[in-house]
Amino acid sequence: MDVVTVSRLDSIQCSECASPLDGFLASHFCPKCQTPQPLREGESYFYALGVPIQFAQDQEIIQKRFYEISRALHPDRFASAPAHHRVQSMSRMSFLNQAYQTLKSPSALRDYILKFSGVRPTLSHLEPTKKNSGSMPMELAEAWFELQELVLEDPISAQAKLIEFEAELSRLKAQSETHLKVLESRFDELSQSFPRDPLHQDCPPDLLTILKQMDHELNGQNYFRSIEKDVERMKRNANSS
Amino acid sequence: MPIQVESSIKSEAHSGSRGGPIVGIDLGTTNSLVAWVEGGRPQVLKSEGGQSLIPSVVSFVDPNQPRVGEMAKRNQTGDASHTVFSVKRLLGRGFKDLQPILGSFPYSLIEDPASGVVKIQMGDRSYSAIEISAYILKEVKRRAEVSLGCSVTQAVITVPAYFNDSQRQATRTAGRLAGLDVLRIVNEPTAASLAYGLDKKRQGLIAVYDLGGGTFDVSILKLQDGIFEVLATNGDTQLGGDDLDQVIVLRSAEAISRELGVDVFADVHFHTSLMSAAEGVKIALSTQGEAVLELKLGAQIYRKIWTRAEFEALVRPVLERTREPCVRALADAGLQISDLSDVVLVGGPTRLQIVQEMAQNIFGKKPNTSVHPDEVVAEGAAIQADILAGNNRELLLLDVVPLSLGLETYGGLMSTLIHRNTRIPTVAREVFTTFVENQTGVDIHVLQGERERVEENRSLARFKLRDIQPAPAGIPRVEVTFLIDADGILQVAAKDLKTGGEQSIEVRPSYGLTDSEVEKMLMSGLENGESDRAYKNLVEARNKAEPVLRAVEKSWARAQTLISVDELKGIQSKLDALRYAIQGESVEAILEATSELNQSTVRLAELLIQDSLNKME
Repeated sequence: MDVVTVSRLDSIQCSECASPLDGFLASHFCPKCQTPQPLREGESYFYALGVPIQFAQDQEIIQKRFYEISRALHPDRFASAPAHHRVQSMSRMSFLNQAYQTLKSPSALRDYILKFSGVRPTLSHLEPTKKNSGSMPMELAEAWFELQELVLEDPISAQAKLIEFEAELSRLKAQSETHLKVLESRFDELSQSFPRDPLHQDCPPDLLTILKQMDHELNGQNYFRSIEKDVERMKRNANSS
Repeated sequence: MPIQVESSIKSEAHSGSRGGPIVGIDLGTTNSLVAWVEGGRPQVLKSEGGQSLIPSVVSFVDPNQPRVGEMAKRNQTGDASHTVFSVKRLLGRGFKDLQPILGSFPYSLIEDPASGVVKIQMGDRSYSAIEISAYILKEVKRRAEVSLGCSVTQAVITVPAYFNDSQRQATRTAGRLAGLDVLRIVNEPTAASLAYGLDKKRQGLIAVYDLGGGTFDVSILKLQDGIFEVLATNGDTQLGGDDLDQVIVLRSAEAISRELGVDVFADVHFHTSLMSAAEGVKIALSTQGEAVLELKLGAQIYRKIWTRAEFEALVRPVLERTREPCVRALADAGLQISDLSDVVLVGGPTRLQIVQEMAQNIFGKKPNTSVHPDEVVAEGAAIQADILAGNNRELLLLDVVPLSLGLETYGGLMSTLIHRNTRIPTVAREVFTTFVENQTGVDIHVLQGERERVEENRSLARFKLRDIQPAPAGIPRVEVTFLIDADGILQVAAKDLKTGGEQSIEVRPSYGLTDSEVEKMLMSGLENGESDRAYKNLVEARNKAEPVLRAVEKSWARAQTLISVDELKGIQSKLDALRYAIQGESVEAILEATSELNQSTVRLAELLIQDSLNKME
């Protein structure tokens, strides 16, 4: 993961006129010579929108900042600018669009923080994803297995069992979500105590531990989702037969 | 008249920073329009006769001199086999995906054997939809040049929001062939929202329901402080006003076959006559309760009175198809219908009562019909042109990509890289490697669509990564960047991660033209450009004449006091002669009349200057 500390990003200069760039707006676009700035290595979505590195985000501020930066940075503002300015405006606007989309969506934000901190590998779409089966809760897996057998042997009593199973599934899901929320607020609290971007190369061990727990929990949720799909399929088959 | 007004006229029309005005063009299925912003207000540019709509019809009665617009439309029924209309429905499409609607075109469509692209057969020549669209755009360009009195080379062109990459590229290529630098491709509903929100300083969440001649779009937008943010868009590129006509056509054809024993579709002339009669009935029913459809079939006459109720019953199922895109767009935007503050109707067919009712039924709200349904898209394109020219820094459009973009992966499935409704510009990167030792090339198949299976999505292009350094399998790392620009058009670049060098990539668009094919067409356009040159000369001659005419007209009142009645009469006749010549197409006549008017006003010009000096003293 190419990540640099915020301190390096703190004292940045315009790529064109070398004047110091201060604040979230200037980091995109030099107020002096109007040059859209090339993307800097390790720039995070949080840095781009000038918001704290945490899960809880103020959506109003995010939208306000996004509009403010877009107004200056959007390719429409550089339609007759020199070619390299047009290219820089386009690539930086793409980055800003991704930042906005990510910070607006709680699930995208989870994925982003886990990847940015290096807890989750950034896999190519074409490589098969590694299944993390360790997060599968044993009792649930066993219950599911029994249920599948029962459907074949005794479809009537399987119906009652299915209702029970679904209730258990949704209880576990809710429990997992609550746990994730707790982990998130613990992360947010801790991350504030760091004066600098805590997600750089040496992510503090406390934070790393929290993020790893979250990753585990999220893998479990993937498992719930796939079971839910199987349950739906089972119901459809039961209805059609 | 040798007076120095020319410069002031020129500066009026010059607003683009690269010189020359930037116009906004609505390249429609049925009609096209051109507009530009003057004094902060969008204005649709009209013909000499005051018409704002240019029928998107091209006629090849004389194959060396294609006619476009009103004149071509008159040929539509007269010489149907040489007249092309609704070409937008063919733009950027393959012959195979048009199978279901091939029968509704009275002109002959063929498959280009090399590319699979659909082509239009006219006599012994065939044309691509891009070429036909370029003819229309040339006429639009001419309209703008005559109206603005200067040359027009830069434009913003609108497309249906739900147009895919091939269709957008095809539109841009058509612009290039017409001699236009296409600065931006803008989505039609988004453009409409710009014009709608311009002076009302509206805030809030709006839905734009845009039913055009051949396409349906719905966009959900958030308007706040001059920012027009598209939250989601959806649509159907094979649903429009044409389909409502088609309902009448099919029903009538059945009746004609039953009652008169005539197969309307077997005769191109009958078919097109019926199509235009059906369109007439539809338009009449938007204001009347009844309309008569009358068709001459050789010696026989078919006649039927259509009631609005009968028409509405037939088209309701067709219009019902607009519901699902609306529901999906709202869901993608994460909104309920109660969140919307306004539903804006755009497109000619939205004049129909039944269409308004359908929109109201879908959104549970009385739609706003305040905008001009035909002109609002062109106006919005003009506003976007003004934004690009740097004249308007208050407004900004933030748009999205309508369809997901992905790659073919194992088992014939599509793996999505960029999801639909992602804000543009946007970028996705993917690392590729080899599967066989010393493999030097990798094939990449890019798709657009929402389905799981490759063949159910739209194939955009096949890329081949070439000249990869020979190495054991899995060792090379080539990063491919997929960038969707602000026009919603894909650009691809590849980089070798091991060496950091650019990786050679070969692009084969699935439907459309390669860059070198476009170049070839542009070159041949220059070589065989006899008619183009004549055109250019005509525009230049008109541009010379305009300022002279205006200068004389402007000083007419003062002239009354300075010269004799006889002299005035002499000038008047030269003035009329030039006014007449400028309507025609003879370059010599225009130049001669201009020069004669100039000569006849030499004395008047001197007197005017003298008079001005006297007044200053």
